[in-house]
Amino acid sequence: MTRREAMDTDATTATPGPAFGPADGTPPGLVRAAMAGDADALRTLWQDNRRWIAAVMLAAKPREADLEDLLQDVALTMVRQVHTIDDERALRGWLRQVALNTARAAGRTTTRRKGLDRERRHELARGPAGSGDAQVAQRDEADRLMQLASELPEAYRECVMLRCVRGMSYRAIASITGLAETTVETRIARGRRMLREIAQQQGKPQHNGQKQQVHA
Amino acid sequence: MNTHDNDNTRDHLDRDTLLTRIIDAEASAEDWAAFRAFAADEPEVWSELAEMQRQHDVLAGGLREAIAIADSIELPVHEHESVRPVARIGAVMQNGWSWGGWLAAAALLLAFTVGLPRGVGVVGGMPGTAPGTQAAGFSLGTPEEALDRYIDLGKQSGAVVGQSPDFIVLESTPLADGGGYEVVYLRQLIERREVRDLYRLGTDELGNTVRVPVEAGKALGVGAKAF
Repeated sequence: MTRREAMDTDATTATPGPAFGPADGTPPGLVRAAMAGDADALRTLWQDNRRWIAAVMLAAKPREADLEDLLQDVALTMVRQVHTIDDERALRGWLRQVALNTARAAGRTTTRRKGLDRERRHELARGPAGSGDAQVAQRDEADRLMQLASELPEAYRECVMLRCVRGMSYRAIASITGLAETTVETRIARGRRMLREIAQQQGKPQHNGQKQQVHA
Repeated sequence: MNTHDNDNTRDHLDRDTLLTRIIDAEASAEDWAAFRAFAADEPEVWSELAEMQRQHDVLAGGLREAIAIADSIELPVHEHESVRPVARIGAVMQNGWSWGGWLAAAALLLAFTVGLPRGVGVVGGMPGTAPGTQAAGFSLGTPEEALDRYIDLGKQSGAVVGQSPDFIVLESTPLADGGGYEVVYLRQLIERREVRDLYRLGTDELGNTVRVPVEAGKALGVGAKAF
């Protein structure tokens, strides 16, 4: 097993769910069926894409507390408007744009907070176990890095975060963002460099209210 | 902001790219050779690799936790039900069924799924037609007869293609005497019209629903909302 395969199947960090299919996209027949109103096809498409949609939304509006509401809005838009896509090959790009629009629109309105709080979400993702000191420390560092990643320039932030989603290759990210694979690679490389630099600058523990502006 | 994205034709692999390829298990033998050459001059690049690798793993773990909530979000299928009958109509048309055949089936489907209004028989193949109301020539004694006449005339002129066999139930209420149900339903007529301009529903950059002109020479798919 390669290191990537090991990472992608790491049961300690990944929750059960579908990995991505071929990087060049979902079978066109499935998209056509969804556009024609087939509920099963729609459900399959949603289940195959909802994780990276969540990552795109976090990158666009990194406030985790809103994610559940925003995902529900995207799901609703998908059901209502998927038939308006001109080209079935454009599904991922269309879903990304819907996710971005939804996240940005929510940023301009009052935050709606309902459903699960942050701690409950951690429990959902983690399962009942995971309260050891080492795990708590790792979660704290993950939270810190998530916060730092949210301060990266948007173009870099999205690619870096998408690469963290299970099964997301450079090619898959390129199909979502509409970028060339080499550009995706460059943005991930630059983004990781910036993340490392601001993490070094801020050190541990993070000072309250301290923010670091990052320039490419 | 200078994003340095115009690197597609570059022939020089920089340090960041090498590190990223190794972290992502995308490094080729040549990449590894280049990295070792780097490391021969700057041994600290090994610790840099280890730190960036660890950072990526921790970030990936955090992000996976954050987006795990997505697995609990299901599509609002009930919103989908108003779309599906349109798709069924498309399938019927593609399969070459005769309109007359499924017009007859429409009566059966409605009778089977929602029952008949009390005190109303079936005359002329459609439910809701009051019994014994016939007139010379054609009868417009009931709404159903008027609708039948509308469909007939529409077919002759080409303005009406037919009627969907699917009736969408909006509301059903048990009758007080327990003898059945009052059903409010949506009847779907398929009509045809030649228009100069065609619009579909789209989304602007703010996520608002807007009307978008359909590109000349293109057609809308089944289920599209047109104006």
